[in-house]
Amino acid sequence: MIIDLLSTAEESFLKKYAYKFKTDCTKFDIKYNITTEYSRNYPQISLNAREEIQVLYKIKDHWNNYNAKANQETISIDLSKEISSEEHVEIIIHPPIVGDLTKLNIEIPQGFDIQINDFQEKILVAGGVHTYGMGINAAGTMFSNIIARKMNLTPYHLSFLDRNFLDKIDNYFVEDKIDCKYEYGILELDYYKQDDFIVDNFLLKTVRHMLKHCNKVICWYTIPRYYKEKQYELFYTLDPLLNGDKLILKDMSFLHDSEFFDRCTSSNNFINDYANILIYKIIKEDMERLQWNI
Amino acid sequence: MEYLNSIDENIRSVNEKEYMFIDVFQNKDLFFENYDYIDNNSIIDEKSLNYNIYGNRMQFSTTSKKIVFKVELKANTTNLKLADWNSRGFDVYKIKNNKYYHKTVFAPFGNNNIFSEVISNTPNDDLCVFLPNFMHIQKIFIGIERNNTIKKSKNMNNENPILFFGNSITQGASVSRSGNSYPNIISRELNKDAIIFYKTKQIEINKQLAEKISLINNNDIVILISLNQYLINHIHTLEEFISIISESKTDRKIIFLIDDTSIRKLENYHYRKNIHNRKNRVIIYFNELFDEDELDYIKYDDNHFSEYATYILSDKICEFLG
Repeated sequence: MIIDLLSTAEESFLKKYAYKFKTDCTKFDIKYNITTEYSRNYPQISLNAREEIQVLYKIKDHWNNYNAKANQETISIDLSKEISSEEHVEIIIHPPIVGDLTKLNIEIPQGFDIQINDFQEKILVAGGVHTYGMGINAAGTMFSNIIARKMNLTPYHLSFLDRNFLDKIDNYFVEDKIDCKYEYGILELDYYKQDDFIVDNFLLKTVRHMLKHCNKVICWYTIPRYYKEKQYELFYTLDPLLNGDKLILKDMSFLHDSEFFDRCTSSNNFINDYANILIYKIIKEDMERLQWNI
Repeated sequence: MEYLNSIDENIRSVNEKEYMFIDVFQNKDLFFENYDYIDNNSIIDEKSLNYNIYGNRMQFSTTSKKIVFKVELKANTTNLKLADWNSRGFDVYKIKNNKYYHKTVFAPFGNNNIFSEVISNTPNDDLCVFLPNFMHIQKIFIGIERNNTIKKSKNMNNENPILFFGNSITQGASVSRSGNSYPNIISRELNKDAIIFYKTKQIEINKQLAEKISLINNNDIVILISLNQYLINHIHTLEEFISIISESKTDRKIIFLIDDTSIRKLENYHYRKNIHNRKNRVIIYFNELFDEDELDYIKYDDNHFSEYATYILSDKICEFLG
């Protein structure tokens, strides 16, 4: 039996970052193709994160990495030692950060049960290089993918490898490419490197778009202290929207402080998986504090 | 960064005549604190156990405001699965009052094995460059502006290096830049050189190696043991290995780091109880450093540690060695 996870996925202009299913079969194959047509140099991320899928399985309420021996076409899964044959196991597949999935089939022997069970609620994750995942070593350690796994959300990405990205996010909304409602939205606002023109014209607009399409929104930024005036500008600009508990603004600038800089960044430009895990923990804490149904 | 066809080719982006180039490997004592450690200590017969035989990092100080690196890496040995800044990366730090401040990182792209890179420098800063974790350096020249000087870093204090025995994790697989392998993090935290012995899967756990390690004096030692099926089935071999090393007369600190996914199978074995009775010996079980809820991001597969886990582990090791 072959299940095509791409064709069964909901249509979207956005890249879906987690494919999920449940099965009582402990031995099956994941067959996939990834297009890798890019000429740019990515010295800060591993090939696994650039061009490989990452597979995790859930056992006793905890997600575990599957030790995938991949050849960029097939991953043969054998969970017979981890899971009894009577149990159903949940599987998540995270696509690569740079390459695009063009095929994702599950080949499972006849007689077994398989249910595609995406998380019911969706999360829209928008931003620039940090949201894109530059600096990490596996797709599964992106903060958005950790949040998705731990909080049962299906992640959709709208991220750009561009210094100026707010206008591009805005453009997706203006062109009606975001056509459904998301339960949560996370928007990166690391705008201190963006042109003033872009910030002046698109910062507030983009946040308003997010608020319109997402029930709850977290905006976050990590701005080095020597750009402190940019932090003040950010608060000043967003202040009219910060009443109530529908929008949270989170300052992650500590990632650039001396205590964390070395372990969380490669430079002012990129954050690694350590930083992504800290971001996940902070966002989770806020979501729990506000009892955002997690 | 400029790519070259040969190490003898002139760099186009700088006027080489304005620079003086120093052959690093011909001046090992200037750049490497423990360049002769492996030669002088027959710890392990196979030199191939170590990638950078003069040390994982080079240090120096110069009055030059610009520093040119001219490098030839051994062709076709790259591990393309890793981030370039790790496998072939040169990770540069400034050292001040024993603290390390990250300055920059650079690596050549694709199959470009010969290249030059220019970095800026504050005159007389002490610099530390962590070398590629997965690629041999054939030749390396440091260029400084003429009429400037280069000297040993004040940070080179001739302390005994910490020795690390392990596998590709010890070598630094799966971190984002070369300075972030756990031996290199620890070397920054404790401001000591790290000498690494590793084999891709694992150093061989046997009596002979244990006896060799137990003869080492004056070095703190960290041994990573990845529990594979062989060791689980031959637990006495592991017990004997740990016992021989633990009972060695040296009072230096020895850490057994067990990358343990089978902890429940092993925790009742008496070696664990015995080792806790010895003052300068400790076993760190990797999984015990984390909550059960963190299993999905402390490793990338069932083997390699994430950078987050690497730092948490390094903190724990420093706690004991520091």
